[in-house]
Amino acid sequence: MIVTRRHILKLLGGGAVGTIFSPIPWKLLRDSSVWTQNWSWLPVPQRGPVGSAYSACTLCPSGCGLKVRTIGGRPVLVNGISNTAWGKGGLCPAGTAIHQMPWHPAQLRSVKMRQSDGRFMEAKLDVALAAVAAAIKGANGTVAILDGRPGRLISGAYREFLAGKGVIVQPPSVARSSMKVLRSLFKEDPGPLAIDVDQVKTVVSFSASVLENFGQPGLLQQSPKKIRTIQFEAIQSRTALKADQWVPIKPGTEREIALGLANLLLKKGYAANWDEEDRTALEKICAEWTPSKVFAASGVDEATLTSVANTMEIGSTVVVAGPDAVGGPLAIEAEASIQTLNLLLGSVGQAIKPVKIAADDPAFGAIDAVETKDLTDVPAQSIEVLIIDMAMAGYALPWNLLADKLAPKALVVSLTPVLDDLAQHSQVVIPTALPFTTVQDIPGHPDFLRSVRMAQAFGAPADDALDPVDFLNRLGKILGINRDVTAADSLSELIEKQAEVLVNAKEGVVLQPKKDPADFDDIDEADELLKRFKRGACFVAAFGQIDTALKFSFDSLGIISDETKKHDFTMQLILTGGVERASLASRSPILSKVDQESGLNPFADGAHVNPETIANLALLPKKRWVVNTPEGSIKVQIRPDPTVPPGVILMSGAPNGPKPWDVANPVELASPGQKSWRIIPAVIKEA
Amino acid sequence: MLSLGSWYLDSKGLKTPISPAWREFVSNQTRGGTRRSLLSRHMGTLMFLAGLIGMLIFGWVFFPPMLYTSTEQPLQFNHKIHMDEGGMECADCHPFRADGTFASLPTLQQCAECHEEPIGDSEAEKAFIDEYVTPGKEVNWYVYSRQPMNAYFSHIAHVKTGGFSCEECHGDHGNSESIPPYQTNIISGYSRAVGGQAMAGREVLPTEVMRMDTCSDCHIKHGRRTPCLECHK
Repeated sequence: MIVTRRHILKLLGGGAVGTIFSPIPWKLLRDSSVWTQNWSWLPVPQRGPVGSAYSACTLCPSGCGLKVRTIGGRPVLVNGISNTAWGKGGLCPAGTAIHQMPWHPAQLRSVKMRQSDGRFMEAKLDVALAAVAAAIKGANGTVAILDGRPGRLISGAYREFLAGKGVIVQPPSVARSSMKVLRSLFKEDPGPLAIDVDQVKTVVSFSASVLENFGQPGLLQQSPKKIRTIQFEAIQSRTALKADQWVPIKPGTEREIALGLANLLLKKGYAANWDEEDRTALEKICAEWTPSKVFAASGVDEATLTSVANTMEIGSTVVVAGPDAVGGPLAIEAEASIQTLNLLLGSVGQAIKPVKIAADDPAFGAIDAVETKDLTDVPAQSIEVLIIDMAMAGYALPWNLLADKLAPKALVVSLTPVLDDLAQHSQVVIPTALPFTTVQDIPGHPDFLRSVRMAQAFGAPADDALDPVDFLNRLGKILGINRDVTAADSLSELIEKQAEVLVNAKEGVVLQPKKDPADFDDIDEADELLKRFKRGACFVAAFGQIDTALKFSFDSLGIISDETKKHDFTMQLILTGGVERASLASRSPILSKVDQESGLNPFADGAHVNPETIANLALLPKKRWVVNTPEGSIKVQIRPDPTVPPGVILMSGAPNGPKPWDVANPVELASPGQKSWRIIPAVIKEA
Repeated sequence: MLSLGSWYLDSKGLKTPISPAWREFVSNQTRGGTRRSLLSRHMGTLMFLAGLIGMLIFGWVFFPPMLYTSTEQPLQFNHKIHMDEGGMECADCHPFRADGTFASLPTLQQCAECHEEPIGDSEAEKAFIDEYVTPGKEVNWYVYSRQPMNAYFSHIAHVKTGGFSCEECHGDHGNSESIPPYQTNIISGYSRAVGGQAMAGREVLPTEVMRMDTCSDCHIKHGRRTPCLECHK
């Protein structure tokens, strides 16, 4: 027998087949893949004792309560807690990743000042403060502070700092919050209002992100009882998808639908116990909005409108709208018409007992001594010095709206932990601490009753991060401005002061995780309240009954704030996105990575357009296109999307900043002349 | 004339160059088609089977031990004697702490409560007293089932809430008379108990392995759909 080369080859072939049916390749492959996870240069999670702590989310005005899991003192996981007046423990995508914020890649680590060539250069704090002080001293026009989160202790300090010397400016999303609009419908100020959500069986939402964003999802998604949700919205948002009923509408027709519903509810006798004059006034405004006219205006057919009206029962239905994190507030007349439905439904039958504001409450320092204005009401080119504190506002503010109000050569100063959209337009940027690196007071959402909780620090802030209280102290020292009510060396000291004021006032309750609410009979010392804050407690102002004899004023329903101008822009640009798309400051590194690697943000530089519109306008997807608006243009890729209404361009907020976020932000296309940028006139052209 | 490549054969006989295989082939031809031996005819198949079986034996028998280093535990331990003669339960030495966390291995202090003096006269008992109890030195046990750092496992969720017995995951470990050596995978660096005892990719019983497949299979079986962040914090 002779062993040939062929035999050797067959032996090897047999060996190869045998190898495949043995564990050798598979086990080696699996173990090698595990080995690659343990390469010495790969970062590994820190080991250490497992613990938990309470804190609060600082990324938007809701200030949701958090239970934080820690390993070796470092936060590794956050879950919502339910001891708030509005939330039941739900968290939005941004809040879920807040513990990653201390690793924000765009974190500011030094003071920056813009040079004559337009570039930012590092600067010493003293130099920057001297420049700001000189500008304030020499200002002939308005000195303003843009406060994106009113109600904080630092807000009180800002007010006291500016008393008699400037104005506090509020972004439209705050100035026209639902509750503020609701209050404007009363002839006499009824005091702080609230909607009694505990009785809710049906929520009728007008483009509000009730099932996807702050506060409300906690309420609706975590509620043990089933709450029926009806969503009127032009686009198929996440809330529209999750709602029990989505009613698609023509963009910008919320007012017409609300008035049509009000008309039907009035006919059902829902205002029978109202003052005769009020009822007649409302009937007069609503009479023209018959179901057929509403259909013509909004595309909502008569049967649907009537069926929704029949679902709306007094005492168990609440109507919600409110600002969108990226798209901004609704037009005032639309919000007012929607809130009128709440009056008809008796949803505001319960209100917060007006809380007596103590003269020494630092959160309300010098409340009457300084004027507060809606940004859109500030005269054009009137602000000479603007200090911006918008980083953690939780919603977008187009720079165009601000730029319109600035005098030529105005000085803009930003207090921010990251070089966010607005800071990029500033002359001086002062770094502040990122969330989870400093103790902060968290006031409740302005649309809900007053509340206070505390965010804890789980690590040290960046070396040059400045406490905003310290910033005001140093600036005040140069300018000779002393504060009284808000005099403190740090925010922590102000928190202690506030605790003392709340304990002394003895009003409201303290909601505690997994415990019964406590009142101020149990808590008689500021230290005790601070201890409970650290254990996740939330102070909430007490409920009371509204005076039903109050009269209403429906003047704002007839206002048309943004007259449709004649122009060549035949399409409508709608901006969308949650808190996580509103600002670079609220985007944790993990959200950007997820977006980048999974394509979960389909909107960044992508314009979603109905296929029918694409066919009609011959918008070939492979070409590069430009969305033109009166304020500018933005390069986009066209993406066919049958859920987008014809004639609409749907884009997401895309916070500007360092890569991989570095895409143009469509929010910049908002017109300074518009009070709302929910719908921006636009047209698509070839690039 | 026959020709094949550089080999050829004319009508008179053989010519060089020629190989043994060629000679055999020609020999067969010139003998008037005599049948080759059975072995010769099936040589190719046999060679293939030899390779196949050889690699299967190597892969299943010799390869696994090469993949692991084996380290003896610092002490031998007899679970059975503690359970049978000592009348102890698992939780006596592996208890839950007051805060609900699992205490894992007993401390020397716990052992010394009974073993301050030698119990019996075995070599292991003597070594334990001399080397650990008397000098007060903790036993540095190798933990077979320590999970990688990216996996979080809660005993209390499974034992107290899920109602699992220890045996469902740890098998008959409580009746073992000795403890096996700690085996480390030389490539991944993990314990063999975590990476999988069996070589065949997918184990059947949770006692064989503590990989993610095992966890997810059991969770599905018990109707517990678990999100990623439940175990990977």
